[in-house]
This record gives sequence, structure tokens and C-alpha cells, in this order.
Amino acid sequence: MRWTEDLRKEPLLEIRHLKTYFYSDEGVVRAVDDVSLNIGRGEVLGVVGESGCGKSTLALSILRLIRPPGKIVGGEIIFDGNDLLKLSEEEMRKIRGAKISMVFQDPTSCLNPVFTVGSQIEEAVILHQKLKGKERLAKVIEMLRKVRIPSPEERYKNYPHQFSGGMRQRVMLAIALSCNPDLLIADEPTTNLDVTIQAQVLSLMKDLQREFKSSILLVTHNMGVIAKMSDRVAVMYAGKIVEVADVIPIFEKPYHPYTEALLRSIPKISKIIERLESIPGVVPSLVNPPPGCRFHPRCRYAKEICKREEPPLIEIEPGHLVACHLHK
Amino acid sequence: MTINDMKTMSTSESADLKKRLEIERRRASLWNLAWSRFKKQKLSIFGAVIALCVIILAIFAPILSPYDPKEMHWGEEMVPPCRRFLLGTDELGRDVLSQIIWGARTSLVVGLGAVGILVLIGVIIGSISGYFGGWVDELLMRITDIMLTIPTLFLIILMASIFKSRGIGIIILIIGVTGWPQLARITRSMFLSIKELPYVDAARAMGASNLRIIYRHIFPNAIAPIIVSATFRLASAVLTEAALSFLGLSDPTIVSWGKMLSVGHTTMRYAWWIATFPGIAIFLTVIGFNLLGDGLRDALEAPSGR
Repeated sequence: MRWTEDLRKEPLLEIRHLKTYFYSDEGVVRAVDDVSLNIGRGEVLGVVGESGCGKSTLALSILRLIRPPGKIVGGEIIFDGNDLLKLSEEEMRKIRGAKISMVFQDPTSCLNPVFTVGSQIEEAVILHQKLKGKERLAKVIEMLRKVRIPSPEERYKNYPHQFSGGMRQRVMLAIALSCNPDLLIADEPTTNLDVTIQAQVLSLMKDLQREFKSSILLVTHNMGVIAKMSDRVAVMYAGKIVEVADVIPIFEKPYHPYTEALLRSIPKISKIIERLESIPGVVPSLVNPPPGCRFHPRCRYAKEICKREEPPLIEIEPGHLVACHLHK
Repeated sequence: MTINDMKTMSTSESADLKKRLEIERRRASLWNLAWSRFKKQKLSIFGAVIALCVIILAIFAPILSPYDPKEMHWGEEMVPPCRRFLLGTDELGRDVLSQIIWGARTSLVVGLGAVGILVLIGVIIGSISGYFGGWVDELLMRITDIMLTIPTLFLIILMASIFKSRGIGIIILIIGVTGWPQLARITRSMFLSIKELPYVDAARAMGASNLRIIYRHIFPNAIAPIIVSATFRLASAVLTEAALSFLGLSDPTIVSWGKMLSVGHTTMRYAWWIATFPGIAIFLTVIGFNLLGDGLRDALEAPSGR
């Protein structure tokens, strides 16, 4: 995958040493702890990991949508040459929805129940484009058509409760893409949909990504979704990036034991197995993460050094980064 | 079956289909949904009818009232209800029915005016408080608490005696600026829960400003309890106005139910009709608006996401 090198020359978004902490009663939760990542133009980057490992916080940090008690305490997010963390709230608002937009997990509650679907797409257009009257309506209908809502001329007048879950998520996509963003952040976009609808929405996303030439940051815990969608994958564990690589190497030759464990826990139709493998234990508390490598208590290969020293993220093959003492 | 029969059947069937589509289309609007739920409650319909009657009386008072309410009919003082004076006359010979009709106008103007003011103040304070939270919320809610601890009628009497003029505008203003705390609290609690919902996050991710999120994304979802509460406040404003004019703190030149009560209660023993009919009018109006509020509360529940 030579083209990832080109991407590294000119990334669309560059996250450097990002730290997002939550100041809870139990202590400081280091949800995103010193994360660095690049997303190239037109690239689909998958961020994968178990629940509670900081994926969503990472996604929300990019748009600066972290709410108190959460706070971005350090790092840089360079987008189009500007550090998003240094922009004023006003300037940030011009980026949200226009240059970077987001699709959330739960399509049932992400649409406002008192407005028609059409007016909610229109809202996004009003915020960032100077279209009026008929042109605006035409744009709304065009977006609905692009996300393959049947008879959009009729359906735009409907309310969200008259749409199915999959259709609502497609409406969310229409809203997110209505201003032709450079980057689409999708936080578990298909998790709440049933499997056949998932596949539909994913292939729609893929098609739209090609059409709009947007980059996508896809946050998911589902390796199957990653395989279908991503060009590159970042594996996150307990607030840290543990492995980054192109999608094929990740699946064929994962280096980090956590990635390996994640891949083993995918059910496969081809194999008859008694019991689906799972990773023992749970994601550690991010208030008091284990010393050394954060994965060592659950790692089957853990050595003495893993308990003491935190492994750095190093490039062991071109474009393949791993943070593990086993691979140096 | 003849071909004609089949023809008529198919057209009737397609008419049936059209009808069903029509119903489906109508059902789409949230207001229609609310109306279909509202219709089912008999008591709320009763309340709505009373409210409508009061509104009609208020608007068409000059046409509907048989006499000028201030006209004194010499030699016809304290006439009991009869054909000439359907509800009798008071001790100065003024027609009770005409006064009641014009009194509806006073009640409604005071009620709507005061509710307009108190909803405006309450919604602004409540939404800022609920949306921003923190010290702003703390400060605004303490002010609200203080307002709630002061007995309203006392405050109103105090203010009424401070103001030199007793114009109806002053009465409206007084009831308005003392009545907002409940509205502020309801609005705040709605904002507190709605601002946590994913569609508010989605709106922010879309690039909407705080102000836009407040009025465009949260407020429309909070409007049902605000309307309901406003309806109840309207009833209580009517009552407060009656109390004020009963106490003689209102505009002396305006016909109002409260003043009729105060005029009539001294002669209650031998001319029951002078105080009884305005009393019934106040009672029915307050009950009517309260029932209407109850009905709206049940009807305006927004459909859930699912």
C-alpha cells in the first residue's frame, strides 16, 4: 500500500499527543492519553477497540464536543494547517458540519422528533450555505436521493418516527454530507442497526465516500465493519493507540497481542467451534491504568518488562506501527 | 356480477384507498396527532368549549351585550332576573348580564397579557438557567426561589399601592412580573433533560450556535409543558385579577367580575344575583382553563423516537 506514504506527506488531519481527561469524583479518567494519528485525504481510517477504551472520546475531541467534566488537556489537532484546539468557538462552529461532520451511534434519538426529516437536513444547509427557497429544497431532496430514500419528494415531509432505524441513519448521513465535508466522523454508525441494514448502510457510506471524496474516521468495535470499510486501521486500548497499519496487514499479520485477540474473537462461518473465543478480563479502569503496558494483565504473552515499562509506538514495517515489547 | 358492479366496486375501493392515504397524511402532522388525542377526553373538550365561550364573549362584547354595562337604569335598581334583565340589575340599576359579558373581556385581556409577560420572563430565565448551568443557573434559581417564597398576593398589593395609576396595563404588568417563577422552573427542568439528548449533540456537531440550539432545537421540544403551564397560569391570572378588583386595587373605570363581586357581596342577602353570577363566571372560566390545561398536557406529549 504505497499510497499511505503519500498520505503521510499531506495528511488532512493530524492529531498530535492528544490528551482528553475526565475529572470525575473517583479521579482523573484518562480517556484519550497521548494519542497521535493521521488521516489522509480520501482515506477511511478505522479506529477499533472494546467499549470504554476511548474511541468515542477521541472522535468527539476532534470536533471539540467534549462536555464537562471532560476536557482536552493537551496536544494539537491540525486540520488544513490550523490547530483546531486553538480556534475560537465561533471559528470552530464554521468547521463543524461544514468541513468536519459527524454521524452518531443512535439514529433513533439523533433526529429531533418535532421536526420533519426535510427540515433537519435543511437546517444543516442553512447553517453553512447560502441557498434560498427552492434551491434549498432541491438540495434537501437531492441529499435524500443520494442516501437512497425512496420517493424523497414525498418523504422529506415525514417526521423521524415515521422512518425506520436504517432510514434514519441514512438521513443522518444526508445531514452530515449535505455541506460536502472533508472529513466525516462516524461513531459506531451501524451498531444499533440490524445486520442486513448494517450492510446496506455501510455500502451506502462507502459509495458516498467515493462520490464526495471525503475522508472518514470510522469508530467501531466491529472488526467486520473495519474489514469492509477501512483503508487503514488504528487499534485503541485503554486510551492509547497500540497498533496502526493498513487494513490487510492488520488482518493478515497483526503484531500486537490485543489486535490478535480482537481478531480471534470474530465469529467465522467457515470454522466449527464450540465456543467463541473472548479476551479474558475487561478494559482496565482509566483512573488507575496498570503500570507498564496497559494490556499486560490480559496478555497471554506478557513478560516481566511489560509490567514495568510502557512500550513506545514504533514503526516496525513501513506504515505499520506497534506499541509492544514483543516487537522491537 | 355485472361489469358495472365491478366498476363501481373498484372505484369505491380506490376511493377507500385515497381516504386511507388522506388519513395517513393527516396523521403525519404532530399537531393533528395531538388533536386526535385531545378529542378523546370529554372533560378537556368541556374546558375548551368554556374557554372558547369566554373568548367569544370577550371579542364580541359590544354586539352581544344587551345594554351598556355602565348604563344606570333609573328606578330599576336591584331588579331580580326577568325578561328585560336576564340576570337582573345591581344596586345602581346596571344590567348584570352586560357587565358579565364585558367583564369577560377584562378577564381575558388581563389573563393573556399577564401570561404573555410571565411566559416571556419565565422561558428566558428558565432556558438560560437550564442550558448553561453552573453559576448562572445557581444565581437565577436563587432569585426564582426568593420570588416563590414571597406570597404573590402580598407582593401584588404592595406593588399596586406603589404605582399611582391603577390602569389595567399596570395590573397586567404586576401579575406578569410576579407570576414567572413556576414557568422558569418548568422550562429549566425541560432544558436540563433535553440538552442531554443525542439530537442536541448532533445539532452542535452540525455547527449550530448556543442560541440556535436553545430556540431551534430544544425549545420546540419543551413547548408542550410550557403551553400547559401557561394555560394554568391564565386561570390563576383571571383569579388574581378578580381578587385585586375585589379589593379595589384595580382600574375603577373598568367593568370586571371581581368588582361586581365586591359590589354585590354586601347585598347578597336580598339580591343574590348581583354577586352570584360573576362568581359563577369566574368559577367556570377558571375551571374551563384548568381542564383545557389538563387535556393539553395529555395530548401534547411528543411521540417518542420509536
